[in-house]
Parts: sequence; C-alpha cells; structure tokens
Amino acid sequence: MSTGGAPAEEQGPSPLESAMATERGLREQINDLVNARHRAQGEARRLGERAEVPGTDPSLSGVGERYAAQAERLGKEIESLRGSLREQEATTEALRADEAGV
Amino acid sequence: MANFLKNLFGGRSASRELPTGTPEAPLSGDVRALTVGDVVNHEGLDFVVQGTLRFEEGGFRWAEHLLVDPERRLWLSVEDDEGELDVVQWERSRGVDLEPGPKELVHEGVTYRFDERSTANFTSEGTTGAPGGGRAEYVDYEAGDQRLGFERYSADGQWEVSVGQKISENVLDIYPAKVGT
Repeated sequence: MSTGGAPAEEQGPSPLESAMATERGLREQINDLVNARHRAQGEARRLGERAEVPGTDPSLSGVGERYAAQAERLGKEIESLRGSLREQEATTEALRADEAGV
Repeated sequence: MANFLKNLFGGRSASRELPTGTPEAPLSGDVRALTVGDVVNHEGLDFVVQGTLRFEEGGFRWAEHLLVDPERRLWLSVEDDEGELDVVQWERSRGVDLEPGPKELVHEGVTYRFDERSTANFTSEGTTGAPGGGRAEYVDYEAGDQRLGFERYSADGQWEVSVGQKISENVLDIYPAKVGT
C-alpha cells in the first residue's frame, strides 16, 4: 500500500507574472542607462567648462567630447529599450486583461 | 504646496517588499512609490529623482520629489487621496514679488484663489536644498488645475514660490532603480 504520492509540483510563474517581471527588468535597465547618461552629460559639461579656462591642457576638451559621445550612445540605447518596454507593456496589459476576464 | 491633506501617502518600503512579477505587486510605474534614484519620464525628458521631501500633518502624508534633468528641474508632489492620486508638477518661480495672505493673488495673468495655510513636519531624503527635517509652513492657492504654492522652512525664512499644474499620473513613465541600489 502506498502511503505517499508524488511530491506536489512547484508551479512556475504565470504568463502575467513573467511579463510583469520582464517589464520591471526593462524599467530598471532604462533607469541604469538614464543615470549613466546624466553622469556622462555632467562630465562633458564640466570638462567643457574647464577646457575654457586659460592654461588648461588642450586634451581636456577631447576628453569632454568622449563623454558627450558616450552620452549620445547611451541615449540611443535608452530609446531602443524604451521601444522594447512599450511592446512589453502592451503584452503585460493584454495578459492582465485576460486574467481579469475582460 | 500641498492642498491635499486627506490620506496616507503610499509607503515606498512596503511597495518594494512585495515580490516583483506577481499580480499583487504594484505596477512598475507606480508614482506613489517614487524615491531617490528613480527616473521619471515626462514630456519626453528623463528626470532623475534627486531628492524627496516627505510631509506629515495630523496623520496625513504626502511627498514632493525634486526631478532633475541636465537642462531643467521641477518638483512633483504626490498624494494618495483615498485611492485618488493628486499629482502636481511644480516649477520654482525665482525673484517673484509675492506674499501669501490675500484671498486672491494674480501671477503671470492667472488669478489664484486662496485654498489653505498650515504647517507640517517634514523629512528630507537625497538632495533637496531643504534641511534634513523640521517644520515647514505652506500656503496654497489654486485656479482650476493650476496651483500657486508658498513654502518656507523657518518662521522668518523667505517664501519659496512655485507654480504648479495638476497632471494625470498616466502621463508619467516611471523607471524604478533596482531594489537595493
């Protein structure tokens, strides 16, 4: 006589739960990139102003330009991720509507 | 700045303790859960929350967040009024020769009506320009969805004047910082 059944199977996340986790992950990635872009823009501005001070090393403005270029690259990454987020948001909301029986 | 002292402001820490990715968890873009380091996209600009003032008056709580973009800064006040969010975007008005007190004040062609005057305890997080905590006095005027706010952080301090516009939370996109960052 068997006294024990098969162990209860752990249920994985529902499609809605997975979609929400993905959406949150995208939002957090955008947050990281925006903060990084702000820092790069700040450095570009600071070094640009320093480069205007008489006697500073001429290479300083070049370093500032590198930060400016980095800020631009980050801006493009942010827009790309924002596009993915918009799609993910629509997926999440559709699943939420399904779950609500709408 | 706060004309909306009615209910508790949704606690950030409580929201963050919920596991992400569950239907019970708040929507990722929850303006009630804003805190320092979060990013708010508004009108195409990505602002970082640089500081937050949290106010409490007689059990009513609300928050004001300083949002910073490299070119612009604004304040966002958030209060959960029994489930109905009151979100106002504010910009400081510098060099304005206005004193609160009259029933009506005219500023930049708009006539604002007096709404309320009171004091509240506050604490400051991040960088706000205000002391770390204490008591603030505020006076609110309104004209439809437009607001005129006065705040000062000591009895003989200078009034900080701000012009506000009520907005829908749905026009904001919130990108929260990772938990623990």
